[in-house]
Amino acid sequence: MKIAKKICLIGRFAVGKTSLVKQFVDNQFSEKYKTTVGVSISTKKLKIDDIDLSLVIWDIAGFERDSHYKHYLRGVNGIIWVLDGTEPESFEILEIIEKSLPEIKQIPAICFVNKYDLVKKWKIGENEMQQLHKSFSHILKTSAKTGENVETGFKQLAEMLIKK
Amino acid sequence: MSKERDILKSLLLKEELELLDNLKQKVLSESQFTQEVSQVLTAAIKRAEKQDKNFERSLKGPIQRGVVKTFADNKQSIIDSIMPIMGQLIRKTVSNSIKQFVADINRTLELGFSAKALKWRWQAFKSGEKFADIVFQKTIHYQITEMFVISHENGLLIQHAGTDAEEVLKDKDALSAMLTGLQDFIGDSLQSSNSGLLSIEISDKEFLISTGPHAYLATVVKGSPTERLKNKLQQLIENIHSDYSDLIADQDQYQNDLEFSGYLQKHLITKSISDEKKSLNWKPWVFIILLVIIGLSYWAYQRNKEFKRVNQLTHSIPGLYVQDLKRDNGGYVVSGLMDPMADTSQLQTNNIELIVKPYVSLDQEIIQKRVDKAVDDYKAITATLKGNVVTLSGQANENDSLTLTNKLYTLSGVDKVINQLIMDKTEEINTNEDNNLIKKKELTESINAMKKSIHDSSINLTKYQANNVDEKQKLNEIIENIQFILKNKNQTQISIIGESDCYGKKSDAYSHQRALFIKDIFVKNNINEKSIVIKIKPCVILTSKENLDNKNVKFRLQ
Repeated sequence: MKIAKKICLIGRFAVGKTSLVKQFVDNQFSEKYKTTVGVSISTKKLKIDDIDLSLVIWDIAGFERDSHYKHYLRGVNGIIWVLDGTEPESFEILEIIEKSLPEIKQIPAICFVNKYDLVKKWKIGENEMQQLHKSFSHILKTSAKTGENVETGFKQLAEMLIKK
Repeated sequence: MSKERDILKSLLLKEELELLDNLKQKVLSESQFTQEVSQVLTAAIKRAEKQDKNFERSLKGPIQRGVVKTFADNKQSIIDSIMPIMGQLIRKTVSNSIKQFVADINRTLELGFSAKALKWRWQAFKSGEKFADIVFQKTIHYQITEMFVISHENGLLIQHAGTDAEEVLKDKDALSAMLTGLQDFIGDSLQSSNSGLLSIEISDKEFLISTGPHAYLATVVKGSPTERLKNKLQQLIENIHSDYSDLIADQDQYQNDLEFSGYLQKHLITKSISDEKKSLNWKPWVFIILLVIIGLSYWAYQRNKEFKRVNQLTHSIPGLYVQDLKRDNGGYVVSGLMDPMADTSQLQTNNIELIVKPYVSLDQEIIQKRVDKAVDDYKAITATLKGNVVTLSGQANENDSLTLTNKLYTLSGVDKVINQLIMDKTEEINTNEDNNLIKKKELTESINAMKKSIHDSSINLTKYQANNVDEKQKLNEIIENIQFILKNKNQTQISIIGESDCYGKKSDAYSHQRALFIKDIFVKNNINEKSIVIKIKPCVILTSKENLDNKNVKFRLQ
């Protein structure tokens, strides 16, 4: 059986969304679309429990600027929230988007706290992590640079989508 | 004090002051300053371009104004400068347009009087479209190499159909999502939910986007798609919405429905690439041709069967020798030989015309008829034919016996007559014995005279029906005579024989009607209907001219 799922990456500018996608995907459209159209599409094929799963990953830009991202989030099956461990301000995106789109809480989601390779420069403490645990069942400390936990995170979300 | 300070300054800062003075002169002197700036201008622009993000934007205004002013002030020099390039471009465009125009004319001329062109002309006449438009539509070629049905909601591919060789992109999921993203972006940019992409051109291929309420159809077309094709594709996505609404609503079924895949596959055009070729369905033609062949075969079979039946019928008639049988104007013509005694009434009812010469037939049935006719006048005599031998039996006087025997010997086909007649002498004895019998004889003679008179008479129906007095008088006399004869010989049988001029195939039928007409008059005049027999004199050879004198009725009493 073949199934396709739409996944969106949400995160502030420069948290490492595009780099995370690059670590994981098979095919990717040119990055220039992200700056022109506001979205870059990538795909990843996985096989889970005899199911040929095709993850269609929407790397969306411009969450800070305007609300055009709402079009791109339409019909999404799963969300990867990307936060930057070195920038606690990047955590504010959670509140902003959830306020703008309350229904987004119902979508299966996973949280990447990125830039784990710079863990020494992280400015978040146990408090912030505990707050995150209230919102997410799956939180991974990832590094787009080393690839740490990137594939694991995507696969965890994929399994969540299949089992849903 | 001030002087001393100046001296001290000049002593301490002499070199710096000279340098400053020098610099002051350079800045204040325009030519010197220009000289200095020109040496670093290129490097400065490059550096500014790299380091200053607003550098290009800041140059935009003055450059635009400068260009506009240059165009306004130096039109001719600008035109002269770009003429070599523009001239080539214009020539190329005009040349291409003329080539296309000539190709169109050639195509139309080639098609001018071909079967296909005549068909298209008829189509143009019926639809009211211009012939040129029809030619254009029919000769434009294209291929539909791929089809994507994509969800509006999430950009996921619902179903794809295409041939591997022609596929634009291997990753169809990514392409579907990107197309949706582009649609959303354009819709968002134009601030309208209905706006979106209608087509995208990639080298010789074109993506045509046909939008439905929940999904849209992206069709990859190679060549030049027509407006008609675009309408068809729009109709297709609407049909998909009505026929596969459950599939569109259920994401888990996407790309897994074989029936839907087959449905889309049917709409690809990979070989027959024009509208004309696509619409050419040979199956009905084969069916029609088969139907025509079957129809013709059946018609030929029936025709042959009918011919055999007629042939059999003509050969079965005694006294008719068929030399040739032909079809003619929906009927048949028989040519050959015919005995006057042959009965051809069956042929006339079957619309068979006879072109025959008379001959004497030796068919047993015809000989029998000749014998019957000869014996007809002798009521008490019976003739039996066996082979070519006639045996006479019954009662007759000597004179009749002799006359009949001689008569039979003259008939063709009769070789021998065996006379077994019993001589009747009663009449003679009675004459001698009783005078009363004389009266009886006179009565008999009188009756015979009447019979002869009646036999010699004929009524012309044309004249009678025209109220001819003589004919009416003649018929009245005949009726009176017959009434007298019946009164004295009530066993007498009256034959009314209808005749005709044999002009036309229905002549015998008219003869029959004439006899019936007279019969009605007889019956009205109290002549017993049971005594009357209707006969006709059949036409052996049809004549080519009408003859009113032959439309008669004759009589025979027995």
